Amino acid sequence: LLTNQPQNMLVIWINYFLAWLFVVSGSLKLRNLAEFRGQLKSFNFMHPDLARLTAFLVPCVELCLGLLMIVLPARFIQLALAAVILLVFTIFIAWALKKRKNTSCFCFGEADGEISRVTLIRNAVLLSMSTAACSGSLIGVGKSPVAITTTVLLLGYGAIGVLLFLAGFQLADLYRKEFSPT
Amino acid sequence: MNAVTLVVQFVLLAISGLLALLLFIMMRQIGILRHRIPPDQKLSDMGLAVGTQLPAIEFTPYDNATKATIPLAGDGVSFLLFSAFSCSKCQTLLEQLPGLPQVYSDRLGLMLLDTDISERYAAQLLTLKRFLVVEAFDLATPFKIQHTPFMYVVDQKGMILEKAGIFTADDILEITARYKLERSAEYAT
Repeated sequence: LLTNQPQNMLVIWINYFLAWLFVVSGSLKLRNLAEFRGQLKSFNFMHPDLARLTAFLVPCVELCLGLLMIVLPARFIQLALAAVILLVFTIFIAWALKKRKNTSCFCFGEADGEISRVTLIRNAVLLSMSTAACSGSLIGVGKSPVAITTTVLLLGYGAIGVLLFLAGFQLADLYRKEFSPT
Repeated sequence: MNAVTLVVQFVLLAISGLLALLLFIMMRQIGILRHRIPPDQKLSDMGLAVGTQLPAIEFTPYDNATKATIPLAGDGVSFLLFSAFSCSKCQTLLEQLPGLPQVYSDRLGLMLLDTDISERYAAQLLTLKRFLVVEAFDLATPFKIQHTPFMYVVDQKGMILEKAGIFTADDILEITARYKLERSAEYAT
């Protein structure tokens, strides 16, 4: 029985949104691997060899999780893993801000610039979305089958959502740089 | 859902996808440019003026070995590269430095703006042991360092011949290539 219930569609859309986000994030980190490695080393909280390994593993995990979420959407385990990863990133960004580590994020490649409150807000929004979708999935929302055309449309709008989200973040970050002293 | 509705939905998806992609690319390019170009001051305007004397020509290596004096090798041109382990852009450059030809590295003083580098960055320092490495935290102000990595090219008396913001090791090679290092009497070509 196919269903187009709004909450069902919303959970699937969030799933695809996060999936594309991880794919983009992982790909851009792999593309700027040297810079991402440098950023991890500059935090100076782990051994350089471990930083090197982490810098390679993090984008690989993001990429694999993103692809898995596209192939098998709205599964609790994947949404939970996404929430955990985003939670770790958010805590890390909060720690870097608290320690006043004036360093680049490279979360989405070179254009990301320095870690700031905007970065923290961005991750908090993503964390809220993933937690909401994860909770929904836990109680069965998002598991009802949808038509294949609807799935394709949701997949496409998930990608559009990511592009708009990143463009919006970039705009907010530019505004911060131009008009805010911090 | 009839065929026409379906086609309209996919056309709308394609159009909004294209617009979103264009917006994303535009914002991303603006972000990259904003990241690369400091808005308030050009890199060429930063630092001490060309033609002036360095505030210091004698440097103590981080391991308290023998003091080094300008010129660092022979009696010719020396390069002072201000960088830091705690800056991610510099990290990429610092990883590339061991690949520099010996003729350049003999004359390159690596002025690191971090503190306690021998304790905090022991592993990374091992890869840079062929350079003169100075813990230069206190030198940032007298040398007017506002951007890292930043390089001064100085003559044998410590006069600044050139200064430049550095992004990759290729930038260093490009600058050093302008100086005939094998013949110390000649500087800029």
